[in-house]
Amino acid sequence: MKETRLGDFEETLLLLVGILDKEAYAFKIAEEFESQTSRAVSIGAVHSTLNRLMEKGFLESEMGESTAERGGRRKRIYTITASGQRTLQEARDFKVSLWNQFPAFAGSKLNFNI
Amino acid sequence: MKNSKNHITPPRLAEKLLNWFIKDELAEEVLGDLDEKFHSTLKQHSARKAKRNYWFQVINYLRPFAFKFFKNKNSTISPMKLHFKLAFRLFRKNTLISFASLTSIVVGVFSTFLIYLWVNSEQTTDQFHTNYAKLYIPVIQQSAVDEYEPINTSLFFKADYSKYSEIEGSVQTIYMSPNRLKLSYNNEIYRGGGMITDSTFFDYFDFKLIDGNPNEVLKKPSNILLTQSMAKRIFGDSEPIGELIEISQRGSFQVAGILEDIPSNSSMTFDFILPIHAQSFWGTAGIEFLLVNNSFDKNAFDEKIAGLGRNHPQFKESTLSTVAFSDTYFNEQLNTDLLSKHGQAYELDTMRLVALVILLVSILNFTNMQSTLSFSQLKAKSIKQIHGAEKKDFVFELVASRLVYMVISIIVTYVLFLVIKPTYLNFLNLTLDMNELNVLGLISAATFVFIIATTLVALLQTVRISSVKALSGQLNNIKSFKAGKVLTTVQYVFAIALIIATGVIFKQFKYMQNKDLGFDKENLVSFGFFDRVEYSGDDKEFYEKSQEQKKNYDFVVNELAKIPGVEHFSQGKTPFDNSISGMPWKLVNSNYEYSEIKLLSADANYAETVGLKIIEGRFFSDSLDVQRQNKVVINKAAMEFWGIENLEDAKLASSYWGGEGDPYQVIGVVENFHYEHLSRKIAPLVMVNFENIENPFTLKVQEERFKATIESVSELFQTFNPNQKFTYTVLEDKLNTQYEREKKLTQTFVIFTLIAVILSSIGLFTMALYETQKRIKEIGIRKVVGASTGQVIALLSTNFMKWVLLAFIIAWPIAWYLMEKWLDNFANQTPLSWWIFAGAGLTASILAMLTVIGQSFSAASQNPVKALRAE
Repeated sequence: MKETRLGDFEETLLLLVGILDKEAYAFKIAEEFESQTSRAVSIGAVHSTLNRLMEKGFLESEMGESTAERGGRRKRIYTITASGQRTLQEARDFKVSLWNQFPAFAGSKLNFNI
Repeated sequence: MKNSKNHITPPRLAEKLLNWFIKDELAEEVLGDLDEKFHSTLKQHSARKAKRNYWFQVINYLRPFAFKFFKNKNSTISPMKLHFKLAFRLFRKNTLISFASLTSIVVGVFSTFLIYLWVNSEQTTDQFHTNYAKLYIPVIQQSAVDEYEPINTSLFFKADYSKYSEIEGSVQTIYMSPNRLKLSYNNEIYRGGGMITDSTFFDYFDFKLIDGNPNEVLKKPSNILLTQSMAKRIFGDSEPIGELIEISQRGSFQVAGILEDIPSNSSMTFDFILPIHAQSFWGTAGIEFLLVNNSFDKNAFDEKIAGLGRNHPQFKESTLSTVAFSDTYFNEQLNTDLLSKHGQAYELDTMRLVALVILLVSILNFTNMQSTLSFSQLKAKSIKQIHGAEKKDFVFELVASRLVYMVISIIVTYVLFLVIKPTYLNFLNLTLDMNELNVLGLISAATFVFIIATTLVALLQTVRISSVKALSGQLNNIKSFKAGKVLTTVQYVFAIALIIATGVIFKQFKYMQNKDLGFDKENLVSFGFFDRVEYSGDDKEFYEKSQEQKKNYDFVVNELAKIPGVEHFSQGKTPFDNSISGMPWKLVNSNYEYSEIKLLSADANYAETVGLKIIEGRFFSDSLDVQRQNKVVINKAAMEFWGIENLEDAKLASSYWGGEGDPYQVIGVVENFHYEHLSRKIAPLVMVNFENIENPFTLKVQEERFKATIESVSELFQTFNPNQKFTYTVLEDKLNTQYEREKKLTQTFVIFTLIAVILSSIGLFTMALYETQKRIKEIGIRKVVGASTGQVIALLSTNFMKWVLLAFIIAWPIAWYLMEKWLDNFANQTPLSWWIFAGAGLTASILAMLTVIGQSFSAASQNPVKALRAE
């Protein structure tokens, strides 16, 4: 059976793939992750997670164009699938519902504008 | 600046590494990404940092998903998984061969491991002491003709080793055998071996203390240390520390420490330790150990101390030297109570040889069976080859199948060991200083090596067969089958040689057990009765006590004579006493020099009690002799030694006892009898008539009244020693325990031999199985044409028996030579009889017949139509 749960790191990467759109390949995603979170990550770790997300059916990929910087090698561009988008939404909704049940924050003071 | 960095490329080695392990389909994108990363790092940081980062990224790609050699979840079935699946299937389908192969590995590794445990324990005897190689024992040779004996140089010669720079220090040890010290606690009496030693003992020897500080416990003269099992014996489960133990004639001692039990690979054993300064003199001198440093040179030092003892009036011609402690277990077996446990180098060699043979036999066996199996798979293999399987695939297939065997056999061996362990260790009296993990590791390593060895042989064999030949059915011409026969023959050579060896060893052992000892060993019982009278310095008190004891003694002697079951009794060392020592004797008025002759003290009843045969003259007698007269009885060996012809002229003299000025008249000669262990030749013996009240009694008891007699003696004993338990030894029991070691080793040997023989039979069995299967069509045709079942069996069997016969011819001379050498280790040897050799041949051929004929019969009795119809 395929595992369809979404881990924290997986969720972040999935969002980054969405943000980067046409530029979503392993190196760029890792760079973006580092600049957004200021946490170091290896390309291998990112690649392995992307691979897992593909296995779960949240991502699909195809080879893109090559550049000189890459020594003429092509890059693999990732795009979110419909099921990936649905899972992301579900993850967000779930967290919001949790936030709403949190008595200190529920209702008045904090507004998440959703 | 930027331009200057353009030529910098990622580290080549890292790139190579990545290319080596990464999946081909990932290589392009990953290398591209890493290049981009490298250049972007280069823009902001130094080249070194960029390179370091590249390495970091490469290492981080060492993940299952990117790994070439890892199975890919997306493809339906990976090659490796397939190999394992096939290996398992093959394993299950050919139950017989799989099981036999597995038995081969398990038995081979397991037997070798068990033998290794014993050999290792023997070989590392005493090596747990850190100073093992740095300890030396001073020994003295009283004159040129004497043997070396350990001596306490500090006590006798006031030797001062501090002036020798190569000596770090010395420690004295006195060993008290269990009958010399009597421990009592709560009016119960306990006995055990006692080690009396200096407070620095633990600086020299690494016996472990469970309780107590090794530097302190022996400083206080009233302390005693007990081993764990001794403490358990006395105190049961209650706390021993601080308790007081009385030691008769020595005072009371407080338990200050508990020792771990002495390991089995220690040549010295004892049950408790007492500080030597608790008493000024302990009655015996004991032996000394010197701790040397690196500048020690044995020869130079021996020369320095050679004359150290010559000032002493008793040791005027003596020569001092040293013996390495590390040599005392195997090579220089000293005559001392403390180091009385000895090993035999030939026993180790024998066991090693057995282990080697078993290992070889099992490796051959395994290879043989596996190649038989792989030949039966040849057609399948050819088809795979035609479908594009490469050589490397077959290697993987082999590796997978061997891995399956390896894992299963490691588990089986380990479990088997856990089951056998207590029995085995107990049987050989071993303590194991390995934890379970070490054991598992060793077993795994051994199995691994085993598998590697067999795999290498298999690789050499299988790769050369062409698929075409296999498919077209030309298998009979393949040379490898001959190789299998040769291997089986070699196995049989080993097996036959081992059967012969077992026969000889058994015969030698039986011979030692049943040899006429020269005395009647039946129903001889010995026991101690009187203790030595204590001497506290008061002469009058001592005299009175001695008189009292003499009176008691006379009474006891009278009473013993009255007990109806006692046939004879005597005071004197019973034969097989280990402590019979020697003295320099010579024949007066002859050219002989003084030579070391064993001395036995016996009273007038000794010959009758023990059952000695007098061949000339007479034995001591109460009516003619008084004790301590200058009269001796000698044995036949002594008579021959000095060439004595006429007893009346024969006088002996000892340099210890007045020399030739005070000679001893020989009054009789007894037939040779084994007064020592049977592994020794009967040496010349001189017997003197010395009575000693505290000597043990030896009784000859009537067999039918044995129990009642022991009870009466016990009662008599209790009236004089109300607090002591009556203990006695039956000579036959003692004899048996003396042979215990040999007996156990022989049994172990027999078991392992049996294993080797069974393994060889399994090998032959599988060979026969395959051979007959291969010739099933031929058999069918022969039967159709008119051959009888008997003829077919004969045809098939002779084919194998040929090889077994060849094995005999090779094995006989080898075994003959080896056993001749082995028997040289014994003073009393049994001759090598032809029937052992014939018997071994017969046994092996019967075994071979049984295994082969079973196969041949089932093949021959089959309906030939069945065999011919199937294609």
